[in-house]
Amino acid sequence: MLSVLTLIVLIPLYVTVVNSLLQPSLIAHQPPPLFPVHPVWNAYSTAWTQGDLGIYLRNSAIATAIIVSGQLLTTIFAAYAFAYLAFPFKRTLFVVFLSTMMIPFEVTLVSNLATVTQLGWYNTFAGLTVPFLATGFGTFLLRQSFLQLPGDLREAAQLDGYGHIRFLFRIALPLARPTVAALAVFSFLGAWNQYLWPLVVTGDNNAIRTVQIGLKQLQATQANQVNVTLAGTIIAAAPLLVLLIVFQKQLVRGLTAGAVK
Amino acid sequence: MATIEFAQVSKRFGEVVAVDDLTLSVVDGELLVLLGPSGCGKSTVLRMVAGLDEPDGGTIMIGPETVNDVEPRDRDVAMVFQSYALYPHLTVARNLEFPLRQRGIDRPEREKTVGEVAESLQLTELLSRKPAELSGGQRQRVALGRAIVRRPSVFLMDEPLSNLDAALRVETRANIVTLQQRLETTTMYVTHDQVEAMTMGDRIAVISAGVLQQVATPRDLYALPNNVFVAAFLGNPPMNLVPATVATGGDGATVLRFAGGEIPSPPAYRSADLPEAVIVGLRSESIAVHPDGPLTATTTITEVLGAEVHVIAHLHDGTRLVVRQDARRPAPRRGELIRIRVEEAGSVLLFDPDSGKRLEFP
Amino acid sequence: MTFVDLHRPLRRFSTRRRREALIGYAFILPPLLVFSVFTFYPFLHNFKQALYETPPFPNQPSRYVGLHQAGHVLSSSQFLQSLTSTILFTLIVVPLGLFAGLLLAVAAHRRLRGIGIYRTIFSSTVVTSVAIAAVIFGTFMDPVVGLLPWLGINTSPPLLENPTWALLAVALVTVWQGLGLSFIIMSAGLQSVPDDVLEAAEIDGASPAARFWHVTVPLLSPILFFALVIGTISAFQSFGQIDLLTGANSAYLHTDVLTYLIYQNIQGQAPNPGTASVLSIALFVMTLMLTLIQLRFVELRVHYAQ
Repeated sequence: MLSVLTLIVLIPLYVTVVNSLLQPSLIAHQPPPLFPVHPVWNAYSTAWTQGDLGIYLRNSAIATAIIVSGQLLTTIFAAYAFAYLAFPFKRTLFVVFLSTMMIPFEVTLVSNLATVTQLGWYNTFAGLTVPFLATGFGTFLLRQSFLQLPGDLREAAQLDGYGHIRFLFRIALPLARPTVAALAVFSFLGAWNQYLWPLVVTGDNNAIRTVQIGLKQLQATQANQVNVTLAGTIIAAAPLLVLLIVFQKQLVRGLTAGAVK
Repeated sequence: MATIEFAQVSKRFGEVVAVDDLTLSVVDGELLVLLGPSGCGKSTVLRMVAGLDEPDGGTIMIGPETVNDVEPRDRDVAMVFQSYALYPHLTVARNLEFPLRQRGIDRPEREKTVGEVAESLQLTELLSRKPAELSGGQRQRVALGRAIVRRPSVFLMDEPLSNLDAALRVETRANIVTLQQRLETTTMYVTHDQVEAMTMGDRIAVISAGVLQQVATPRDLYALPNNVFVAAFLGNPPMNLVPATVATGGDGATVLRFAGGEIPSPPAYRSADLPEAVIVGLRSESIAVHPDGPLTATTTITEVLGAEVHVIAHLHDGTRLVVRQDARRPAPRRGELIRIRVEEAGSVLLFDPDSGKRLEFP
Repeated sequence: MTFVDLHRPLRRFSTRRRREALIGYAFILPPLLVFSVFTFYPFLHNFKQALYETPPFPNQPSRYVGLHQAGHVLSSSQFLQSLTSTILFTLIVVPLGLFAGLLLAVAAHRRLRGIGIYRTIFSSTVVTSVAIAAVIFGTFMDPVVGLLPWLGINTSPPLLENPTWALLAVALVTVWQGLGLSFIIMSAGLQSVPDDVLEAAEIDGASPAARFWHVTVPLLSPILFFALVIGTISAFQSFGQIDLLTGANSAYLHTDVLTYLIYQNIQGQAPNPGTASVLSIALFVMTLMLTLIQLRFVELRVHYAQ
């Protein structure tokens, strides 16, 4: 049973790798070869150079880095405020934060495009990243985590002379590390794999096009060179795959911390 | 109604030997207690009878059948877990009914049996509640009820009282014994509490580090422990175990020399060939504080327990002695020097200091 | 002379509170700003924009038409087909995704040696994006260079150009891509099912299937419900795989889900923000309604641990 399921999951990836190493003519062969006896590596270099995948990877990396750090920063401070500080209308404002979870991005797409264009951010990293610098779900999760820390911790810190920032970064955050890791993972995956917004907000030059859109372009321009297209997907997936293998445990723990309420 | 036979049963978890060459017979209808400290393997033994763990060696038989390869659900055993393991999403009634449903028993009969069992355990008013709404004691009764409902051949109980508070524990203890005697079901009961074991068991099997130390009735276990482990584990306070050397006294008779004096060798061992050093087992109720006693000790503390008093004293080499005396007698004060004598020489036991085994009477 | 000013303690108190409030507001200001500009404003703007129609001629200003446009769009056959496609798509993707994830999780939930490798493999699709999955499967389903003829699937027209099968094909690609996340979520849920309750069920005579249905599934129900709600919302937002697999032919192929329709009205040949806004509101309402229906009817059967 386990092996059957493994096959179903892995076959597409395996075939992709195999095909990326074959000549296009061989790929169309019936039956298709199961193992590249004479691997041809130029598909990868073609994808990289002609497909500009190097540039796209860089762009994706920059955009993702901006979004992840932005989301983490805004979430950390907001969650701290909601968990530990008192201010008028706190309840209402929290509900406002939560309500953003109810509005899927696609619903705001139309106007956001107009806004971004008006701000002159079309085809810039600003336009690509700023709309995503905050997350209601993340604030909810992290606030939950903070609330679960022992209440007298904050009081003890206050007596010891800790101000808000120091308490937040020296005590609260380290204790809430699993949740922060979870947020970082969610955030990273979401940002890297984004498709619709980059599609709509990047122009035809390579200034900020991300690797996901780069794939679309590769597919269009290399229609017959299937091996090149597939090599492109491997290149696009490679960074995440490496991260998965290295941070496997944290990734799983991170994704489940959010799921198991 | 069944017997349980263990023949050279062993179980390992990785490097750790949990159960080592266990051979034991459980008599039909008896309540056998598996007693031992935490981690001694007693729960593992229980789980192997249930079929939740498989032995690495040896055979287990329930009745005439060797059950090593039999699935838990085909073994006709019922288990009460330490955590109760109630189905949290089902009502009490459904919890009780669950084993019957799995056996395909039809509804009218199920309802009748559940009703009877609920009645006998005073659960009738709680039938529509869920486990989360019940107190610890109530949950415990539901766990018991679920085990009873099937009228299995064997009951397995894994420390069912350990999560209850002290008063409830005493009450429930008696209820379980009464229940078991009424149903006459062979029961294996695991606990680390020797009071529970002594008050409940028809026989007790003492286990340490996976090895069976002794199996006997509570009385026999108390009076004649086979080794120092059993001697020290049972009784409150446990038997005093004092190292001594064997020497020849002034009049040629054998004496046992302690750090605070000497006493004559016990009559039961008079003609025995004793080693040079022994460990002497003195029950705290068999010795007394007496001005003519041969042993000198310093009182450390006196514990008042109501009807009796425990005098805790030390010989000058640091060996600890506990003396039980009636509360009406004056108790020594802290730091006071006292003399102790043996009141019942017949109950003194001798143990080998290397192996820990009790020396046989000649 | 020293007066004890009875007013001072009170004022110091309120200064501290005021400071704390200011810090609080400062901390939540940045995200609130982002939300206001990029979530709430656009959402509300939809309602206004829906009332304006943009003529299909370039550089012509849009004119106010009131609810006329909304009525026109919502009753158009294009919208109704899109709605059907979206619902069908969701009906295939969500239950299949849940079931597949659960199956994987149960299969990998054993204390075997090396089970960790299987768990990594099963979570691996979490690193694929819809774009990656779409390109991979798009290649497989290509009539010329793909794998399908070898597997004996020889539909005519080929899968991704076939109005009968295209939606199913795209849905299956979506399920595959989501296997990793589904597996991870279900695995986490399975961890939370207490072992001793399952053992009790085993002793009570329940077969593995009975244990699964009567113990595991009820105790998993909170996670299943969570996955259902999240999965549905996510399915409604699917876009990338549609764009890459069926692209501009989506209307003909019945794969024109709502998000794609919205996209076409933003970056098609004749961009019509008014129509896009109407569709966006429709998408929002649908998502909201589905979530509420699920909360109302499905959550009843979920057992939450205390």
